[in-house]
Amino acid sequence: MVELSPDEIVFWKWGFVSINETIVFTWAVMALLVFLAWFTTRRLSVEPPISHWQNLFETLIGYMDSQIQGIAQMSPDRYLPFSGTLFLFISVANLLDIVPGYRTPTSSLSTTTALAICVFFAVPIYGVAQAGIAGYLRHYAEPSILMLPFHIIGEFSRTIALAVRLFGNMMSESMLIAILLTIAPLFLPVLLELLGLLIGQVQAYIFAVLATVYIVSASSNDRKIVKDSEGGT
Amino acid sequence: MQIDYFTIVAQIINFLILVFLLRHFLYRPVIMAMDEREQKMVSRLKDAEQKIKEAGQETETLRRMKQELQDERQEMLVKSTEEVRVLKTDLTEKARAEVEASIADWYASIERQKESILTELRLRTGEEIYAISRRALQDLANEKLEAQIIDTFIQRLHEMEETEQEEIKEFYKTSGQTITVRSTFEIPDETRGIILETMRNLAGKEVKIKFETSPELISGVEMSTPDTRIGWNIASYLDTLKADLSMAFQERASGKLLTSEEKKNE
Repeated sequence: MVELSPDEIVFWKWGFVSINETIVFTWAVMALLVFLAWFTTRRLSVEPPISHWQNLFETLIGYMDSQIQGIAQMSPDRYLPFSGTLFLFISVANLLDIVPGYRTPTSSLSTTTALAICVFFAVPIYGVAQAGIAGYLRHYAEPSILMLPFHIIGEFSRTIALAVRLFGNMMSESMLIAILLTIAPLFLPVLLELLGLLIGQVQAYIFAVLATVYIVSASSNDRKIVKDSEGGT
Repeated sequence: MQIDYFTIVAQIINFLILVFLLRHFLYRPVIMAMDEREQKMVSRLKDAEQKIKEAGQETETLRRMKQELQDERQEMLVKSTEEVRVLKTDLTEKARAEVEASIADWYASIERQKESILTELRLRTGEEIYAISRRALQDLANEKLEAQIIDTFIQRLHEMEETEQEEIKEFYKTSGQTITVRSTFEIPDETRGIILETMRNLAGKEVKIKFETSPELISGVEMSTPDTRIGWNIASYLDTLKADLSMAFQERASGKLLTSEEKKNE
């Protein structure tokens, strides 16, 4: 029997607090990321030769920097920790799907909802930090005060869309593989697993980019970026 | 499709912790390292540009120095070539002058030797001529000639010049004076008497005459006082001839030498 959500596998429960598979694997991903980060940065070298891990992380961070730079049209330093962590977490969580017995936390609606809520709150926080409370609130009434309800609805709907999009993709992949295992258990699941890995990376990219777009659009007066970027997903 | 609210809260906290940890352990150190590397690269690029600039300047300086050295070398080469040419010309001139001087000396020496030989030859020729003439005339002297000589002498006595006559008179004024008549042969007594008569007439009183024979005269008669000498003999001719020849040779030799000296000076 395939469990549809890792939330349902509870290892330890005490009242309201329950340590389920989602949390445990999240910790595992976190531990792996933090260990690799610590392991890599504990002896960074400025001059060649550079270690493989440092090279990998520098490439990743450089790529993320350039992406954020492209979206925000400003220095990416402010947004990199949040957007970069979103990408790294989702990417590694999905990548580890190839490990037997592991189930990605992103196939839990709770995790994707948690990430979407983080984005939901990050938008006003970055916006206020960038433009002040008045400046941030002003753009809800632009171009007309009549647009205020739509802006508010938009804020909630895109947060929900963000959460459900990632969850749907990751959950569907898990479910598809589970179903295919019962029908054609020999060859097809491997191909779908490969496809799943690809989808996982694509979703990580999409989630991180959209989060960045939302945050940047709230911090900037240039709303055009948001409209241009929302269409493709 | 249920949502576990505790899991949501836990995941939010987990995510924020992860953001914090990655920011601390990953982003900041890696970005710092990348920035530092970029700074170093920029610095190195600037250094490299500076060094390229300096190298360019250095190259230009070296090129200029090389050009100067080449110019200097060329100049020195031209100068030394000119000096060598001048030196060669000088040395050639000196050598030529020395050679010419040597040739001139040699010619002068040759000329002197030639003149010396010629002079000696002439002198000897003269002496030989003199000796041959003397011998020939001695051989030719015979009685007929002697008679002829005596006739000539007597005629000469008669044709004496006024000054000679006065001198003889003056000579005989002092008493006891003797005139010597020398001849290469014995004068016959008759002829002696003629001579005595002639002299007596000339002096106007008795005179003494001493007759001597002298082979040095070769052929002839000579009457002599301390102041005058009257007579005819071949020896005097030959002495005159010898003296004339000697003088002519001397004049000729000195003339030749002068000519060669003049040539040398030219």
